[in-house]
Formats: sequence, C-alpha cells, structure tokens
Amino acid sequence: MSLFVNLVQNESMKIFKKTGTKVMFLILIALIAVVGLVTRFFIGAPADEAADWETVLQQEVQMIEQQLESGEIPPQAAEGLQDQHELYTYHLEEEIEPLNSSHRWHFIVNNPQFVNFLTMFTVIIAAGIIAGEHSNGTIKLLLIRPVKRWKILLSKWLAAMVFSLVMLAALIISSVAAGFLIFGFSPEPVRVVEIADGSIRDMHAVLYGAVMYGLAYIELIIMTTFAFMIGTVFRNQSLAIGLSLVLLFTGGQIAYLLSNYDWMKFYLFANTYMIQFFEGQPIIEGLTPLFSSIVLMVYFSLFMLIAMVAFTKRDVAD
Amino acid sequence: MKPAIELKNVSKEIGRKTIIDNVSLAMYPGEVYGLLGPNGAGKTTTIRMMVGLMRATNGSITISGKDLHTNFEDALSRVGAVVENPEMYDYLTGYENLVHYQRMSKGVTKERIKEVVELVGLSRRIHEKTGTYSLGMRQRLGLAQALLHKPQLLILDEPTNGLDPAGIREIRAYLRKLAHEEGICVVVSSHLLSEMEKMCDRIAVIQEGKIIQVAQVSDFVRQSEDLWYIEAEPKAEAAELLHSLLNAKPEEYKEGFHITVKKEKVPDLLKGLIKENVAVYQIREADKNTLEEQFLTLTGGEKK
Ligand SMILES: Nc1ncnc2c1ncn2[C@@H]1O[C@H](COP(=O)(O)OP(=O)(O)O)[C@@H](O)[C@H]1O
Ligand SMILES: [Mg+2]
Repeated sequence: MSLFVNLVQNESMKIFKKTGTKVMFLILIALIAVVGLVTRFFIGAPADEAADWETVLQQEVQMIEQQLESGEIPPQAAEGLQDQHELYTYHLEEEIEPLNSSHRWHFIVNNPQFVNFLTMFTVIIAAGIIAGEHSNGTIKLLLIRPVKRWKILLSKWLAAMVFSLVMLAALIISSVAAGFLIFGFSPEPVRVVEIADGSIRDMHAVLYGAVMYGLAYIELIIMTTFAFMIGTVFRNQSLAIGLSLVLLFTGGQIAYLLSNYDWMKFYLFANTYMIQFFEGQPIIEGLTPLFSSIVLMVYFSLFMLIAMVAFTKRDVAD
Repeated sequence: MKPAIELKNVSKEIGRKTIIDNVSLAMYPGEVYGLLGPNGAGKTTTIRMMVGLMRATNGSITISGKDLHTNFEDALSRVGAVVENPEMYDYLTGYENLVHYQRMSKGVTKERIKEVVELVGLSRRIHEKTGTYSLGMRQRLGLAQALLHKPQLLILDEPTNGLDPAGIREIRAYLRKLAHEEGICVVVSSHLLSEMEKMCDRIAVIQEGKIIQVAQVSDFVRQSEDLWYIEAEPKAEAAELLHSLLNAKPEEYKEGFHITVKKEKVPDLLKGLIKENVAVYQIREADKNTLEEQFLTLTGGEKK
C-alpha cells in the first residue's frame, strides 16, 4: 500500500514539476479574473441605484399578468410565462433576491462552466502521462522496477485525477476570491431558485454549486480516461491530445444533431453531460440518470480495460 | 553456484523476423560478463528480455531462480539496469530523478542516495535539472539509479558510450570491483572487443541473434595474441617463404599478411626471411581493436 502511495506521489511530482502544468494554472486563474472583470464592468452593470430588486420584480409580475389576461398569447408561450410568474412570486414571497449576472454569487455558482477548461487541461495531462514516457525513452527505466505494470498504470491514472482535483481547488478558490473581490464582500447565504421539471426548486447556493461542479466532473473523469486510454494504446502524445480534444468539443454537438435516433442513447456524449438531468431536459428523450450512469460506467470500464491490456501485455521496444 | 540470471532457449520474433535465435546463457555472481557483437546483433534485445521490457517468444528467463514472468516483482527486486541510453526526466533535477526511483524499491534510504551520488561523482551537479547534463553525466546518473537498491545483478547496455577515456577507466575499475569484491553479477554489452577484454571475465559473442562463442577473456586474448601482421617485399616471395617456414599459408591482409606464430618464434622467422633477401618493413601484433577483426580470426579469415 505504501508503495502504491509512493507511485502516485512520483507521478504527481512529474506532473507538477513540468513547466506546462504551471502555465495551465496561470491560464485558469487569469481566465477567471478576466471573465469576472468583463462581467462586472461590461455586461452586468449593477442597476441598484435605480430601483431595488423587489420593485423590479413586482413590475415584471404585473406585466406578465397583463399579458396573460389579454388572451393574445399562444398556449406554449403562456406556459413559459406562467412558470416565470410562479418563480417571481416565489422570490417576492420568500424575500429571496434573484441571482442576476451582477450578483457576486452568480459568478461563483455559474463557474462550473470553467470545469470545461479543467477537463481540457486534465485531458492533455492524461494523454501524455504514458505516451510522454515512451517518446522520452524514460519508460524503460520506469518499467524495470520491481513493480507490476498494472500498478504503475493505475498510479498514473490516479495522478491525473489528483491533478484535476488540485486544479478544481484552484478554480473554486480563485472563483470565490474573484467573486468577492470583483463583486464586493458579503458572505451572507444566498439561495438559488429555479423552475425545474415544472416546479420550484430552491437550493442553497453552496449546495447548488457543489451539485453543478460534481456533475461537470463526471464528464471530466470520462474524457480523461478516454485520453488516457488513447495515449496508452497509441503511445503518441499529440495523437491522444488531438483526438480527445476534438471529441470533447464536437462529441456533444453530434449528440444534439442526431438526438432523434433512439440508439444515440448509447452514444458516449449523450450521457456525459449529466447536468442535463439537473437542468430538466435531457438531450435525448427517455434518458434517465440511472441509464446514463450505467452507460458511463460501461464506457469507463472498457477504456480502463483496454488501457490495462495495452500497457501490461505489450513489449517496450522503442 | 546458482546463476544470477539464466536464459534457456530464448528466442524473440518480431513480425516474421527472428531477432534472437535460441539463446541459452548463464551468468554467475562475482563475474563481469560481456555481450559482444556488432551493431544490430541483438544485444539490446537480449537485455530488454532480461529485464522484462520485452517478452521472449520462446524459452524462459530466471533471475536468482525466480521466473521473470510468473514472479516479476521478486525477480526484479535486486536487478539494476540501463537499457540503451539512460534517458532521464529532464524537467527534474538529478536528485529528484533518484528520489523517483528510490520510491519504487523497498528499503532505499536518503543516505543511500547520497552515497551513490558521491560514488558516481555527481555531487556537485546533482541539484541541477538533468536537461543540462552531458551524455557522460547522464551515463553516471544512469549508473546511480541502477545501483540505488544495491542490486545483485547489474545490467548495463553499452555503458561506456559518451564517456571520456578517464571515465571509461573509472567505470571499468568500479564494475570489476563490484563483481570481484562484492560478488555482484555484472553484465555489460559492447561492440568493441578492446573494451570488453579489459572489463570482462567472460564474453559471449553474439551475431545475428545467435551466440557463436562463449569464452573466458583470458582464452580469447591468448588466441589473438598469436596473430601478427607482417609487411615484406617482394610479396610473392615473402608469401612463399612464410608458407614454408610456418607450415601454413599466410593470409593476405592490407599491404601484407596475417600470420599465426608464437611470440618467441618471431625472431627466427625474421632471420629466415632476411636470409633470403626479403625486405621486412614491419611486423607487429595484429590489431584486435574491432570485433570484426576478431571475427576474422575466429572464423578463419573469412573476408567481408
Ligand atoms: N522493435 C523492433 N522491431 C523490429 N526489429 C527490431 C526491433 N528492435 C530491434 N530490431 C532489430 O533487431 C536486431 C537487433 O537489434 P538490437 O538488439 O538493438 O541490436 P544491438 O543492441 O546488438 O545493436 C536489429 O536488426 C534490429 O533492426
Ligand atoms: Mg544496442
């Protein structure tokens, strides 16, 4: 066991000592700062001088009521308006300020979109973690230790996960820091209220953020494992990075394009975007969280198995 | 005595090509064993199989009696090796590279790292990134990582590549000391006979994936010590005379001939030539620097 910890420690050391890794952290932090500043000063200019949020919401509610009474609204649109009406009334009754884009918590709660960058960086790390040792020739000195190959493989996968967790920590810390620095200090609890599946969902912002990050992380794990497998099988870093990133950026699109075919349910990228279940509407009708979890588990096991066989059975001849 | 490593009927095929053909070797504790063969003979492939990087197509390999494939971790626990060039993690320092390997073997202490670093003479530069190291320094660091866990079997593929003559002498002396004083089995490969005969106790000659001879270095050297090169004019007359004086046809080589004669007989031979007015320009021990020339003597003068 202690040996295995040593292996993960070794692989982490190799990841974090690389200049490229340090650059990734800088890019991530810079990105958050820039997005924060742009949101604050160009998009969501605070409107609090004019009117407080309650007055604004009350006006909105009245407008919706007028529109609905006029009877000129098509039924589908009316449904949407009713949802909105329900949401606004809830905000007013419970005295919960909505999280518009100028709100400091909005920035933090919505940052799981940055997990995509994290996925990208972790994919790059995972794709190169074995392929890189082949292209540098260091694989030879690595594999002549008294350690079975599957342990080395697993330690490398875990180290990629450690990297992603450290990056996640960096992401959350810098988001919170940016949220408070750019949008002002105020640590009071905030609630996120949304209409999901036709009814009101009222969650604490921290919990909401955790769910969003958690779901986004599932995609990260799957994509990282995919890149890890490609890098292990082809022993080629550029190929593994390229292929994984292309799939990462286009895979979801394909799921949308072909979403009316039933067999697309088994397509990897129809299932990786787990946030779809949290938001309400899955890409393909009939997808359920349970079904997607099983599909993802099967893909994951398959990727790991292929990587394992490729790594443990093949000669090191380069 | 139990062999430190034993190869039994080992073959390796890659694609349809047989790269190693039915090789059986046993190497023992306390000896420096040389694998000698020209480039492409199969030395590196043999070593890759000995350390488990490649799997033999046929045959078995045991290290201290433990089968390399069914008992991998035990078999390799006391093996140190460098295969081809000692590639390091260039973004780590020499020291971090060693810590990396320390963590992969049981019972290697920080003191041991320091000891090994001093031994290979890298103390001054050990905290620099290995990306800045010369080939010679990499060889030294490669040796350090191989020695870290006090191996009983040390396998080095062309260990003197990139070393200066002083470095070569140093490593040669050290490897002999390891074998003769500490009872380690040291296996080295090279394509240079001159180097092998100074370093090794026993040599296996490998060519095109086959072992063509295994011998004590002392035998090897004696064999070739009797080989001389002589230049004399006129050539035809000299050839005839040499033939009758030696009872063997001299073999034409470069400007003169290769002849086999005991050292103590050389003066008499020269007298015989001079008496018949043959002009002798030079006579010296034949070059045995290259394996190729050694092959010429081994295989009875077959020319390429
Ligand atoms: N991965 C491989 N695929 C095909 N042929 C190989 C491979 N590795 C080595 N060879 C061939 O095997 C032979 C022996 O190579 P090698 O063991 O590197 O020789 P040496 O180390 O003695 O110079 C060479 O002819 C080489 O071309
Ligand atoms: Mg070689």
